Amino acid sequence: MLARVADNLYWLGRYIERTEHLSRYLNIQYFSALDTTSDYQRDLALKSIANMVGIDSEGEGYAFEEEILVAVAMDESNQASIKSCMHFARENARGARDLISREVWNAINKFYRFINDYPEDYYKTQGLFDFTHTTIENCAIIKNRIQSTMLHDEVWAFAKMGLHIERATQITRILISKFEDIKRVKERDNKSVESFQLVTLLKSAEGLDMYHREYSILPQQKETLEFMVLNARFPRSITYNVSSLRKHILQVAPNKGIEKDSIEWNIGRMSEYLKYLTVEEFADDPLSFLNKTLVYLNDLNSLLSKEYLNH
Amino acid sequence: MEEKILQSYRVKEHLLDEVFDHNGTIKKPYKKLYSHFNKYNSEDFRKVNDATKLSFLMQGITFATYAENPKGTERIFPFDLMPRIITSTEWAELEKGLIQRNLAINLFLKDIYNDKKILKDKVVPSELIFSSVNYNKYMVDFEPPGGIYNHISGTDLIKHSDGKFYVLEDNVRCPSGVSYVLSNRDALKKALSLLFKELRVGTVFDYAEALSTCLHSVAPEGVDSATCAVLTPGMYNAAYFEHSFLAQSMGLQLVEGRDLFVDHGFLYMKTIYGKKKLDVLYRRVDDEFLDPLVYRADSMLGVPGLMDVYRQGNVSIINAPGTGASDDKAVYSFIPQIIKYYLDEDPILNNVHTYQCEIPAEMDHVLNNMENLVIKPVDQSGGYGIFIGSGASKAEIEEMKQKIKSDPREYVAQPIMNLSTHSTFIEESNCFEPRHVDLRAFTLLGHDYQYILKGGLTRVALKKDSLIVNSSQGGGSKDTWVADVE
Repeated sequence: MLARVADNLYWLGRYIERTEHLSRYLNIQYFSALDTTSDYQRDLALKSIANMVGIDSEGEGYAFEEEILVAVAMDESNQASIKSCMHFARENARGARDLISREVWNAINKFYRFINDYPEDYYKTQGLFDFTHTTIENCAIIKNRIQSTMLHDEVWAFAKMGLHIERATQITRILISKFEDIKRVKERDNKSVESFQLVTLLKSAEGLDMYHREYSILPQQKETLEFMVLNARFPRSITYNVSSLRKHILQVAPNKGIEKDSIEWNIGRMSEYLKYLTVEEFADDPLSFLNKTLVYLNDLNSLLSKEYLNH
Repeated sequence: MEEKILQSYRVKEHLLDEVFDHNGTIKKPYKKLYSHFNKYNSEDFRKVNDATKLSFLMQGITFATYAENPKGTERIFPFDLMPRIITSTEWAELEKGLIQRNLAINLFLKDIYNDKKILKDKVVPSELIFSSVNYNKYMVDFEPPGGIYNHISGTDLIKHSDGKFYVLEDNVRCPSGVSYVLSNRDALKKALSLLFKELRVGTVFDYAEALSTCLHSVAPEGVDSATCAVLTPGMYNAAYFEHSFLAQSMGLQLVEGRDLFVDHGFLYMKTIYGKKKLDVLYRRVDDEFLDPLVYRADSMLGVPGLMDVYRQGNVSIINAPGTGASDDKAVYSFIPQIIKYYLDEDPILNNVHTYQCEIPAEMDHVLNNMENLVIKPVDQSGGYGIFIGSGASKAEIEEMKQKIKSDPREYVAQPIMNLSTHSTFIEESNCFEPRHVDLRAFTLLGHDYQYILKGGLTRVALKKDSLIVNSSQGGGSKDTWVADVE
């Protein structure tokens, strides 16, 4: 398989997953904040949304709620917007169109048309839920097509690697963002707001229901952290995604990773570390742990690019 | 009762219509089709038409004209639901003619790059060949693996008002359009499934297999199981859909120049595991961009050293570089003599009479009869630069005369041919109207292997009274059915 095309597939996976997470985050944050009468909560939600796509919400350009919402979802000049991500996803799919199945391509192309033709005025006034909801559903359809209509060979493995590394990254960023919010909330000493933040955190990862099944209690900080970072059976947890990533890297790896500092060795070590890590070890200072994880994931991306994609 | 969609159709005087004769009677091959189409009223038909168009857009069966719009808006190649029918008997004759023509072109190419017998015997003037910008000096004294130059050719044919097919031009560089034949057929099968059964329409879906067979048949000597790939300029090329479509339907890699490199006389791809040898390259990149070491040094689309590997016989290039020397519109006029010279046969397919402006007597004739002629630059494709005398103003005619006088080698002239018309659904008027059509037939030549795609691509000049069918200039297309309907 061509290295260039492997790069296309890897980024296809990343952009689809990114599109989905951004949409869900926008949806959940915005609509959860509507449930509260607190201006502070709404302000926090908006800042948190801007933060996820790297917009400086303190900056002058984004004084209004509407502008932030447009910038995150529809702004073509913002490379991190949902619309841009989907554009990149489709361009990557186009570059690998001869290798993916027709079903995958059609699902991507059809969805791209939806996003591309979505009227901005409608979005601003009443379309935010429809836009984000349809986006999340279409990402699920595309991923299902990738799973069920492609050969599970190295072409598929690169798309899956992109998907898992992106999901691990997005989950880590959601956790960082929310735990920073919680820290601020704590400074104001407001317990109910903290629990509200944990609920939106879990919803942002579509994890609230499974959290309830796992713990049978309302979301608590330590349990939420354990669930989202360490749960090996929950497909949105960091551990689950690192371990899946390892599986797919080993699927394409010509040597199975005994060489020190090779990508296979590196991911093997991280995967095993997470397997035996306990929440007590980082619950006191989750942000420091999460920030290190984010750096690790970025390094892993560089290593993967160097090893397989940049020939 | 509401009018049915074909009832108001009017055939133009002096023109041959494929579907109706001059008193408005439906022609025999189209009878079943006619009764099927006449079941629709215009509103129902529009619905089917819109649904089909949308399905093309959703599947991304599009071409992009980036030169015109930098944002790269993609358009679908307009497609008409009413197919063109060619009877099996008529097709059998065309097939013979196409094979004959392309075999002769292959022998001609081999000759002009090697022994040059036809030039020495003065059947074709040597100046004509050596002055051609497409004559490729890197091909001199070299024979490609398998002995074939024009593996894939697209021959443009028209039907004149005398009812005969004429060859309008040969395309033996990188002829495109075959993916639209297959996509059109796919769409039409869904819309008109019942008719397919009744008319026993000849299949087009064996094309991918035939192309693959053709590629493998010309692999370099000693290569048992050849690795083949399709070379594309990249996804911003207007025909990228076709490139990826062909690669996918043959299960081949779709590569770009930057994916390839040359090492010790062989061509390699850059894969996730390092290098992999490539044996056959179906390139959809023009000659001049193939290898920056021998052609354009600024080319980012090619592979440095590719021609060297080629001349060592370690890779096959499809089509061979330098084939453009034979699809030059000035060389075209010699094809009947070329067929006679190499095959000792009379040409089965007619040429349109062509005046060479570089021959003084013919130039005089051209200058004195501009209103009745089509003037074409010899080396352009895509319908660019074509001048039609009947529709031109006096000033335009004068300007064209000056151009011819200053560069006679660059121009040829042909009588204005009355391309046949075919009933075509016109969205603006919401009914069927006659539009001019031509036919691009696809021929494959491999080592001891010949194949013709049954039907080919019917191109439609969508603008009223226009004779220009090229997609880049607002042309559309029709599915073409070879059927037993006599």
